[in-house]
Amino acid sequence: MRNSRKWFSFLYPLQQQQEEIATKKLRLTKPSKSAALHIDLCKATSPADALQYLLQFARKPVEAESVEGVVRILLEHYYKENDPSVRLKIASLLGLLSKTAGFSPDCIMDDAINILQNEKSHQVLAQLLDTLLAIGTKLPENQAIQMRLVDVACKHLTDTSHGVRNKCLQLLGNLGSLEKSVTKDAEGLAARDVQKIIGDYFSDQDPRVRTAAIKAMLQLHERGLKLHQTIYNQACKLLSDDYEQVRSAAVQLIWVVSQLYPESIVPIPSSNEEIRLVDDAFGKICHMVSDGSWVVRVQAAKLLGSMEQVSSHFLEQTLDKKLMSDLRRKRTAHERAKELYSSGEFSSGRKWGDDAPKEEVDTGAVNLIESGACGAFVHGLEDEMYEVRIAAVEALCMLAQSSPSFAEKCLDFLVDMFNDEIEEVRLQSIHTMRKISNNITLREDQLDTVLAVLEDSSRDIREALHELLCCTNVSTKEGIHLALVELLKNLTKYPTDRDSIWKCLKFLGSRHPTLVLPLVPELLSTHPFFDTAEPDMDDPAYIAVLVLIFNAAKTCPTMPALFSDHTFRHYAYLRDSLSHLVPALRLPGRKLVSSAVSPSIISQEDPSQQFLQQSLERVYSLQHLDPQGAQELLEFTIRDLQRLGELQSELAGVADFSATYLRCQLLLIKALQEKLWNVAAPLYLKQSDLASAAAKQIMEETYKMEFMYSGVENKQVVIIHHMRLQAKALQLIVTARTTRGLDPLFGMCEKFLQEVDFFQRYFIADLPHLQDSFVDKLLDLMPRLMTSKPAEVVKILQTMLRQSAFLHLPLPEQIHKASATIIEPAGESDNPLRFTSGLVVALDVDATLEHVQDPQNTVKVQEMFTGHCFMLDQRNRDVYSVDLPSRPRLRKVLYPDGQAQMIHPKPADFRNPGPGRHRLITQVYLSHTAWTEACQVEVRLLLAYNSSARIPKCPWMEGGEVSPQVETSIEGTIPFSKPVKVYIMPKPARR
Amino acid sequence: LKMYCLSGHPTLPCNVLKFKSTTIMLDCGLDMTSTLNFLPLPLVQSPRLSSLPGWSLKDGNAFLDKTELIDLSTVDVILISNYHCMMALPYITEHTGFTGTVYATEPTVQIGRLLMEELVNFIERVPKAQSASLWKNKDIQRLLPSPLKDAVEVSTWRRCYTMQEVNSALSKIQLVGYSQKIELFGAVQVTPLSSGYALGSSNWIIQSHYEKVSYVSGSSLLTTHPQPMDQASLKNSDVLVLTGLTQIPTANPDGMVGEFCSNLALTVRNGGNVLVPCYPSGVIYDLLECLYQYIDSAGLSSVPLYFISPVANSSLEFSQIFAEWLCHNKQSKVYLPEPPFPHAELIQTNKLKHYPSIHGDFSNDFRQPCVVFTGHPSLRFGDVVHFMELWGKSSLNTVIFTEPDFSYLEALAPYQPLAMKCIYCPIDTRLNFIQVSKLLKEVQPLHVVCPEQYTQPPPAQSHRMDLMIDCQPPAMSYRRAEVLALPFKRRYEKIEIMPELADSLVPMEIKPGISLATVSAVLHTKDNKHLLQPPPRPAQPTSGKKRKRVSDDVPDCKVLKPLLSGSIPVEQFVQTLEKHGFSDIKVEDTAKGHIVLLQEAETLIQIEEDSTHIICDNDEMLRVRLRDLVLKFLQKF
Repeated sequence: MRNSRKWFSFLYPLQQQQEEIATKKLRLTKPSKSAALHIDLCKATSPADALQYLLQFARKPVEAESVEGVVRILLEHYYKENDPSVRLKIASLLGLLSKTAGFSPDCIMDDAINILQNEKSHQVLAQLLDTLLAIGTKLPENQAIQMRLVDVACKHLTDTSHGVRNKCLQLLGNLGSLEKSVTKDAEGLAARDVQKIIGDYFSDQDPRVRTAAIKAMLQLHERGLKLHQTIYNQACKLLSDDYEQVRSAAVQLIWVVSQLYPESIVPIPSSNEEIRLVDDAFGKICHMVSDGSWVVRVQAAKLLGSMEQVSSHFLEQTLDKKLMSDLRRKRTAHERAKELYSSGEFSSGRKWGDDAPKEEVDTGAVNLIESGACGAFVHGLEDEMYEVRIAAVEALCMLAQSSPSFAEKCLDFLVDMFNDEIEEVRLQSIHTMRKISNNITLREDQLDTVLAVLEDSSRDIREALHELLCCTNVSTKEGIHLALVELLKNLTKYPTDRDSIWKCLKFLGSRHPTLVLPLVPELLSTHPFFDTAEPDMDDPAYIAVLVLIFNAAKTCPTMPALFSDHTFRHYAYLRDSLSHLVPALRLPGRKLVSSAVSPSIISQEDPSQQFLQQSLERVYSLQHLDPQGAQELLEFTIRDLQRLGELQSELAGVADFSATYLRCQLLLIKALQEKLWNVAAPLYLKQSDLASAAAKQIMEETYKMEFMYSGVENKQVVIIHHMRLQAKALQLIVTARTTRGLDPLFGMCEKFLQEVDFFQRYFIADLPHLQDSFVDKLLDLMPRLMTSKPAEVVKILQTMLRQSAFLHLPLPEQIHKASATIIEPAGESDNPLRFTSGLVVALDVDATLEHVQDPQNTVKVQEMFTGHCFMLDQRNRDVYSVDLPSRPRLRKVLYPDGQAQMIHPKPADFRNPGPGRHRLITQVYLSHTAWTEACQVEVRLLLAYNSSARIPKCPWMEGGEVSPQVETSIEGTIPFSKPVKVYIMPKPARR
Repeated sequence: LKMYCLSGHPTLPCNVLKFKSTTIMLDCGLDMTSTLNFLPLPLVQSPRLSSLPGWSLKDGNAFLDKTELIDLSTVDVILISNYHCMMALPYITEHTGFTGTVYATEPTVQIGRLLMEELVNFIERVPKAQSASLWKNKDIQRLLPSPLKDAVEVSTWRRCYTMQEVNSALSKIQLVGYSQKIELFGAVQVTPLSSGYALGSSNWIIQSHYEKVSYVSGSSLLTTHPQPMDQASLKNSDVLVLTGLTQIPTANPDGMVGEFCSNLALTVRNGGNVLVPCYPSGVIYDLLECLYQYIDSAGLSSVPLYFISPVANSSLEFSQIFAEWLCHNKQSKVYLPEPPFPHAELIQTNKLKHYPSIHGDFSNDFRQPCVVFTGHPSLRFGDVVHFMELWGKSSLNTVIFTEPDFSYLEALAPYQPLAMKCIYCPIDTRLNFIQVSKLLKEVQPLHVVCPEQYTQPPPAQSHRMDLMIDCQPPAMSYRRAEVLALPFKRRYEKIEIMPELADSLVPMEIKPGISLATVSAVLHTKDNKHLLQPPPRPAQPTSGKKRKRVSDDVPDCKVLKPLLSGSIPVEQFVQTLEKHGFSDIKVEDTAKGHIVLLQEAETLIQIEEDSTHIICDNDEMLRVRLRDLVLKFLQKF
């Protein structure tokens, strides 16, 4: 240990020195950026030339230390330049430069403000203000600078150009002081009321400036400034602006204010009533759902969803399309009588109160469909633009989640959306319905509409609907029957939905046991007197019915009495074959073995965990056993672990992981036990197959351990890499023993030592845990190894491999093995997929992936042509005979033309239905020339790995050139699903 | 008035026009010739392509050509002239902070969407495991082999956009119709006009009340399927921006079509297949129409025509429903009612079949010999790659290039050696130089602005002086990344007068035909429109104060003081002063006017051309008296 530490301290300064030298060198050779620019700008004879130079200059990044110099040169040129477009470019470059990381722009601010004052061109002014904004945002701490910038912005607010005003407002929004309320009393005039200044520009003449003002206000809010309530009224006026951008931003602002002051009271203009601000805002935003511009409508509909504080009667109005009489609150009879009395005028007396002063209706003020909250969602859901409809459905979902009574009321509307013409809308409304489904019960007619969607051609929609049916409540037994019938229809139409439908029926059954009960005789087609024919056990539809019934029977003890004999038999069969769908039932005349298992699962977990721990403990003591005993112990433990993994699915990951590790160790021990080593001199024999095969296999297993399990931590990675290092040492020794000549050996030795070096650098923090291990010993001897000859190195390695301790593998908390199942193609069909040779056939692949991290980048599909047949070459019509698959060494030739392809699925092909689960639905394209007969293609999923991804990059490596690294760039694939065979049959093209 | 030229490509323009406080981007074309530097992307891994020497599969496909000449977030609107010129739209609307609106006609949007969809589909269905970007580094690029080494602006090449980006970009488009007048912030009016080049293609007129800029891009005077070009509305423009002329000025489209048909027939008769790399919309409609007439006469009616594209079906069907955007005789067919394009009949009689892709149904129906229309014309991605691999080995087959956007020799480079015959008959219906000069003569713009390439003959045929724009005054040319100041100044602005105010005016005729009247009013500006309103009544001091807070310009709410005009005749003024009891008056002439000295009151009256000052010592009474006297000589209004 002491030795090794010395070694580190010796190594490190050396590296640092080297690195310093390298960077210094770089700096010397690099031409000075600012100087080059200066020369360029001096050379420029015309503004157009200068512009081109600047454009070229802008393409390359500038280092932080030379920014200031560059800025000076730019400014110098700026003062001289007459052409505004060049000044514009300089101004925008200043902004870009001040954003450079590591550069503090306060030194250029004075200059920027200076040139701002003398600038005449509006466009350049706007760009300069943008630059100031960049500077200001770069220095958020500096209050003085911010104040100064705000002052500058206020000064230019009166500019005639809208662009300048826009930028000023933007600047105010981003930099306007936040601690205004605190400093107000102290500084008085000095602190400007940013909100008021911005608010004044709500009524600017240019629509773009109005929008910018509202955006600036929203920006203030985002930065944590509390907006004043007075803004509410100003914003409301903007709702009737002529320009949609203004209205859209105003809606947002109103929403923000309503969230800030939900409970304050605002007057209703047409009467002397007052209502809560959030209700008023809700009404106004609802009104915007029928705006002329769809952008505004989408915006309004989206925002409605998040207004949860709104009172329930306003909320419910949104579903009511009735028009109110010009939508003003009518005064009560008492109020009217009182008014009449106080007016005190004479009346003709013919009619009571006919001369009372009527409310004068201003034609401009009455909106034809000024509806407030009324029917907002009715409009939204019936909108012509599907974007609006989606937004309305989303909003409906959010509001319904917070209010059960509203959920019930909106059900009808939501169900109607299932018939929308746009798939996205349908999908969205199905998802919405699922989210609120615990609040609702479907009526039969609603169910009817819902179930009609099962005929949809989109798989996503059908599956979403199955999910929805899993968690809905149905009110009648007819409903259940209807659902079952429709699902069975769906099953015959789209057989690929089988699993999803079974799962759906499982939940449907367990949710409605009492409704299923009266249906049982009909469903099982039993007869009180006659025996009926026994249904086919392999029929997916029959299984679907049974899944429904068995799940209902779980909580309905009277149901099994209705079963006929074969039903019980089928139960036993399904309970075994589809145990995840069929629950354990308490059946008459049966032992309750199965039901006894379920409650004890939790208590059983402990002993198996203990067992796992114990067997692992036992293994780690194998150091003290003789080789033979150690081998046996390992073999037994591996067997035990594998069995445990099969029995206890929760522990499968851990058990597999440790079993793999033990298998590596076992292979290592076996390899070291070989007779080969007993011979003193190298034999150069080809007989060490076993040892080299073992080395290779250990490598493979370590890659599997590293990349196929989710939840592997750094602790484990070290051990895995250590194991791999041992395998590499073994490989080196074996090669040394079996090959003649030293030349290849030199290279290998060097490579190996390099790898040891890498190992040490990457896992420097973990080295203390590796006491007495192979690496520990290796590092002790490192200086010696560096200088010795390959033969000697090999000798040392050999003794060290034998002496090294078996490292304890700490088990991670949560570990899962990545797995994949290919659902489709099922590989059962004997019908070949036919296509014209030379063209392309698409093979649909549907697979579920479990515990795969980042599947978009790692999962690949492999296809291989296997089997044998005769291949027809189209050009010369020769017939090639292909080898028979008997001799495994010729495997490559086995495929009609030796093809094995890897296909990267599109990122969009992956769906994520749940945590840790992914679903891959993709198409694999195949193409081939003609064959004489149908041939098999093997499809499997591979997990690609790249060892550099996991290892943290050393910071010093990034700057320098990429050193030739063996370790870090290893890429490969691990097959992780069972291969599925598909027959394909290319046929010659027709003439 | 300035024009920022972001693209140097004459047929795929991208210019930004600053006109009267609005920033207008004219088109955003995507230069896809950079894809020619990449290897073809086959649908199924091809051992031949992946083992080509000296080539390596580089990162997807990246093309955009755009400079940082201007901050794109300041662009207010984008005007699209045709669907080829909108392919870069997602890059601009999605990643630059663009907040404005895009204007385009409906067919442009729909067909543009199809083109983008096809592009994205072709590229996404063959994802790359890794992408290389290191080579874009200048130092490394220098070491690369020739075509890559010389490629300019490699750092601006981008990855292809995704479908989400396309959808979000297209959602920013507002649909317009021909001759519809669109107000931009009240300042500028833009109008699309039919340009005759493609379905829904348009030229744009950008005008304020007194200035007019026409933007002509991709126009055609030939009678193909789209509505004919509207030339009359282009008249009286101050500036005419001319882009998108034909790329093959020497080729006659009609002749090319004939050549296309005869080559096709020849190949098919010999038992070979014909491959036509094409876009899914545009010229293909005309080609199908020609073939419809030709195949029967040539006795080829049994030869199947295949059109393979992910958007083939939509393209063929969209073409039939855009009746109002078609030329007259096609339009009149709709009322019969008949489908305007004959390809409907080809489909009905099973002569033309369309498929979304090469796999699936196509492989069952496939018969040889046949004619296949498929994309992409660059031969770098799409199903055409597969057919090139499949048919390239046989000399019976022919590939016919009809799209002029890509050099066919470069496109074929990775497929060499090629036994297949290659025919190049580019069909470009856009204006040629003869038509341009005729057009310019008719339209008579004051100035013409065009890309640099059009002001000189093409480099390959430098003696052809007829292959350049010739007009008076000579056309102004622009280059990539250049800022052009357009040569006219705005001098007038329109101001409206309220009727009440107009009533009160009393014009006086000062010259025959010219009358003058003085107006005193309040100038009210809202949404860039100016309006003269009668001045507010002075008798509202309370309301005036209230309004001060809400109204934007301050002078509006102050009580109006009458304005004065006229000059003071000094002699008469002195006489009046004397009449009013002032004596000892001295008049001095100065350079600018006169000084009247009232010596006993120690008061000074300066009368100059543009100002009059009364200087007296704290005697307010006196000052007011003198002021009133002065005012008597001046006219008030």
